[in-house]
Amino acid sequence: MPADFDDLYQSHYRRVFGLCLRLLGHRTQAEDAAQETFVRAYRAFGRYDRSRPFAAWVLEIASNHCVDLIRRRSREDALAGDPEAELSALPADDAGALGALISAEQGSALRDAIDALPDRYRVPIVLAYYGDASYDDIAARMDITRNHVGVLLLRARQRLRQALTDQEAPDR
Amino acid sequence: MSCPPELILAQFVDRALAEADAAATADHVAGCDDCRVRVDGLRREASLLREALAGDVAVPVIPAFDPPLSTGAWTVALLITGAGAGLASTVPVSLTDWLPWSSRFDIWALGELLLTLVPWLMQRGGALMTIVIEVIAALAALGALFWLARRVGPWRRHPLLLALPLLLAIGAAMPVQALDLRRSDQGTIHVPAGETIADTLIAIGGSVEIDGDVEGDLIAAGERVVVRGRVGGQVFAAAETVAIEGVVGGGVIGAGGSLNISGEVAGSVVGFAETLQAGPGRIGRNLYGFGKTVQVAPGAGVAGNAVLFSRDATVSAPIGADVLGFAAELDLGSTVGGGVTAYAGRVLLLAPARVARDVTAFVPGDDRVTVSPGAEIGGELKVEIRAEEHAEEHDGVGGYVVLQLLRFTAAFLTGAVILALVPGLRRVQLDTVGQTLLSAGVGLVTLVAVPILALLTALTLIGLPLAVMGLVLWLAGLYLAKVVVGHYLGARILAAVSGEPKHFLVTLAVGLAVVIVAVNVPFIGGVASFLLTVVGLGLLVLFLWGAVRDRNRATAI
Repeated sequence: MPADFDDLYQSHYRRVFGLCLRLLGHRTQAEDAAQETFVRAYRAFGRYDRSRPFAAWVLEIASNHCVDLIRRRSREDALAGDPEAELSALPADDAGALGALISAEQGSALRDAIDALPDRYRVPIVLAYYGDASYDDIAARMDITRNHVGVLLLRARQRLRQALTDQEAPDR
Repeated sequence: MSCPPELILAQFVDRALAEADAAATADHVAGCDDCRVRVDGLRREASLLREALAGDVAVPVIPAFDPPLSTGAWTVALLITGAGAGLASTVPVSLTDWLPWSSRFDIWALGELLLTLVPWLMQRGGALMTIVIEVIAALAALGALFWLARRVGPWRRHPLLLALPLLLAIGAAMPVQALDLRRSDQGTIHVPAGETIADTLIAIGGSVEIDGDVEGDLIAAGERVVVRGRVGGQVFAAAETVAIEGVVGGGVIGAGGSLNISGEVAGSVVGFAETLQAGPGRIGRNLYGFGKTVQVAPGAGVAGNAVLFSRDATVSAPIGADVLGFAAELDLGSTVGGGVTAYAGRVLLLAPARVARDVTAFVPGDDRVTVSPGAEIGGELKVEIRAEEHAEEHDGVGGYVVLQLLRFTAAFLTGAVILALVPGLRRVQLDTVGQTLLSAGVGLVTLVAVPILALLTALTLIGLPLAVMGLVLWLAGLYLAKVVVGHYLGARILAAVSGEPKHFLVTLAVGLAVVIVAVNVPFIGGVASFLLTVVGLGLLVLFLWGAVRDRNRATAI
């Protein structure tokens, strides 16, 4: 094994594992997926364009692999549903709801809410805010249009706000 | 400008708007307090999401990274596998003689497979078979081992778990040996005349001779099985030589180098043998004969149908109902109560043949059916010219092109259905040398191991349906292999040409066209066909395995 690959492995493992864990929601699966990601990276290392940050490259491999796994898991070809239906299901803008997410003081509550999201909302949220992927990247990974990504992300946020509001309500 | 919806504002915050839209939104937000508040809120949401996601992924220990096997190691492993497979196939019939992997895929190839492989294995008896099976099992285990090492993450870290499939696979070969071990007396198992066994007899020995009476079934295996007495039930016999000279109240299912039925069998006879001879004697129901040579000898009689799969089939005794023959040469010289249907290279009706109804012959040419002057046909003689495998040589360029177009169409339709039903197959990857070699290795092992395992399973008789199913799936896999590889090749070619993914049917059409052309190139076409099939078969197996694994995992959550 080239020494520099081992260094990269050591320094990027946590990040890759984190992405896999957030995407797959299961520790053992995430460990497997992280290993598989580095195996793939290792095989393709010769073709890796050094001008590109290693993190971006390896996270792309990881997200591709995880999205594949999720797809097979859900046994559906299309990870995301129909964008039109999704768009029409958007509730009217509600500035007040914005507060819900922000007032969630504990990161863990938000994290749990993210983990509980259906695949099609969790995947873009994780890719965007953990994997630092652009809308275009997410669109490519999920095999959907860029606009659809925007809609899914917004729907995901709305669901999170809703989930956190519901959670807090009993305390009041 | 009216206030943009949240969808736009969120994209603005995520820097996902096109430049012009972003500028317009920025202008608006700068002049609109409402929107500025919302944008600030969305920004804080985004950063909270980032923080929340970044937290709590503590990995106490980074596991050691096991680099995958290098291509070199893989090549060596596959060379060993290949050499092993070669060893396993050190048979008088070379692999190419009996494996229907090439485009010459039809019932004839299947027939050939059975005709040559089964009797050969039977003839050499247990010892050699054990060796062959163990080699195959070891190869399968080796393949599984390498595959697991590469694919299955957690197992990679637990070498003991890796050893398990190896042991299991070798264990699979054990029943054959266990059969030897149980042969306590090593010699003859003899039921003398006058002795009556009221039950089913399971006899495994060097030689099994029944002169007495078995009232139940007889299950016998050995080098030689002879029934001179009486068996009330069914006879299941596997031996180098099986001879039924006495009386059997039920049917006979026999497999062996040679199988002779000269006694009276009240039921049907199903025989797999290099040489199968029925007669003199009587078969109360049907005869199903599979063998290199199948003969219904003079003095015999089959009350029902005779179904014959063989190279040379000779019928010299009366058949009560119909005759269905698949043979290179079918000779008929007796009375047939029904009709005769023959898929054959040549059909001979010799005097004193008397066929009560029609004779339908599917043969390569008009001159391949001979009805000698003394023979009689009650119905019509129908001769259907069957296109031979090398039809192109006979029919000229036109026929050749039509044949290839037919093949293309058939493969395309099959591929369209299967790729539509199983979309995952459109995504199979073969991008590295390692993946290709892996697929080829798995494909090769599948190619060799499945028919052998199926035959073994078939020998247990109970497993016969399983074996037939296995063989059918295997043959389907051989056909689908080229479809899958074709689609993959199409995708690669289109990606190289246009850079954009196309509809899978377009991809399939392009790929299949390339495959069909490749397998028709003189000299190297056969090799190309073989390689494509092996790689495709491996892809299919790996895909199925992956699907099963993921399904198990999904249910485990």
